[in-house]
Amino acid sequence: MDPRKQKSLDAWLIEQAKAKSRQRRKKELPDDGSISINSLMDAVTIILIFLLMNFSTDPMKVTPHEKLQLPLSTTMLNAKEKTTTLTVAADGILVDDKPVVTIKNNKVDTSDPNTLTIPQLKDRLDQVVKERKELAAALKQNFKDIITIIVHGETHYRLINKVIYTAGQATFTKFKFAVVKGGQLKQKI
Amino acid sequence: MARKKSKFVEEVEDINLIPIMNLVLCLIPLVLFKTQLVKIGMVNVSAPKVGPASTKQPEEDKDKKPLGLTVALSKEGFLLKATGADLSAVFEGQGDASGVKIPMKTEDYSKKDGDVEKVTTYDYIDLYKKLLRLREMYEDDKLLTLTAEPELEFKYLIRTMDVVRYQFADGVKMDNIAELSEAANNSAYKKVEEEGEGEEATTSTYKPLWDQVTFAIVQ
Repeated sequence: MDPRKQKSLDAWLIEQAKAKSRQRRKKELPDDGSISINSLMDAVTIILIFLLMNFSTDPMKVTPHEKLQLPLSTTMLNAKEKTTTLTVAADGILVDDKPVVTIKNNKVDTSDPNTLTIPQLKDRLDQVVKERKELAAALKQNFKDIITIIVHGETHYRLINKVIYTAGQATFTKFKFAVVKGGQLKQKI
Repeated sequence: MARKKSKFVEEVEDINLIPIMNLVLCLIPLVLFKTQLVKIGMVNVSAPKVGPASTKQPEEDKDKKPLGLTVALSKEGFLLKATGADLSAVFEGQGDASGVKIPMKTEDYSKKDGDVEKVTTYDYIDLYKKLLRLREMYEDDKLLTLTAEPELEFKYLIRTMDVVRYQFADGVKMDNIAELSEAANNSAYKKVEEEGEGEEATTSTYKPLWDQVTFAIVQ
């Protein structure tokens, strides 16, 4: 064989042997800087289990929002059944998550300041009661006159008064106020 | 001649975790959407009575007048009023014909960083003690009417309802608001045994203080 060819073949063989050795070393050492999918899998499984543990089966869901900060309470009662919900946020009133009236500076936009009834809310609640009564009659059940009121903690009592009065006018007799559990009595005024 | 042991080692292929990862990553947003990290509770309020009060006395107990207790919240503190009793006589030396005032209280509040701050709060401890005394005197009365200044924020009404709901257990320390708050958070309430039906002969419940609350509708 031509010595030059022999030399290049030797060099190639040495290079191959080195590459093989490098590969073997790579397999032996796991700490080579690459991400291990097993660790990621572990982390993701832990997150999934945590989320499943906190999985909400409550009939009512409230998403905390700047305009809807529920007051804290030490109550032990939970939301057991799905009822009509009336939400009084800082910027509006909603019935079953549908906006009814807007609120500005703790005052209802279009209501007469001298009356307790909020006309738009009364109309909407009457409609809801009518629908619920029809549904209850079709299912041969009794209509439940319970309303869950979700109120922003900084809402003024005057507005709460109006909302309760209007709900009472729409034949609701049992009121449940939604709160965040785990309250503190300490406060600054 | 002894046979040489084969050096052949079967290579086990790693499990392909990528499809599982895909599934799990799809599940996370779904579960996250349905997860509620804040625990929502309920506070029951009885329907307020609107219109003039009934002049008809209950048939069975004409002699004993109902207490008709009202707690009014203002920015100065609480005001206890009762239609069926003279509260200034019950709490001697306190209050007048308009009711018994419980003014705001200034307390030292220890912050997490160790600093002490002066905090002005409603005197929930005094309110609790007075309501407990009234409960002992008027065992059959159940309803408490809550009212507030038009500008007062709703959260204070909820906190007041927290204090008046149950009777705290004997020996619970309540020298300051922090202690009262801790007792309420730990549900350190007095328990009563109630006779039940079926397998559970007795059930244990918390002893109520003034747990039936209604809001006064101010026309």
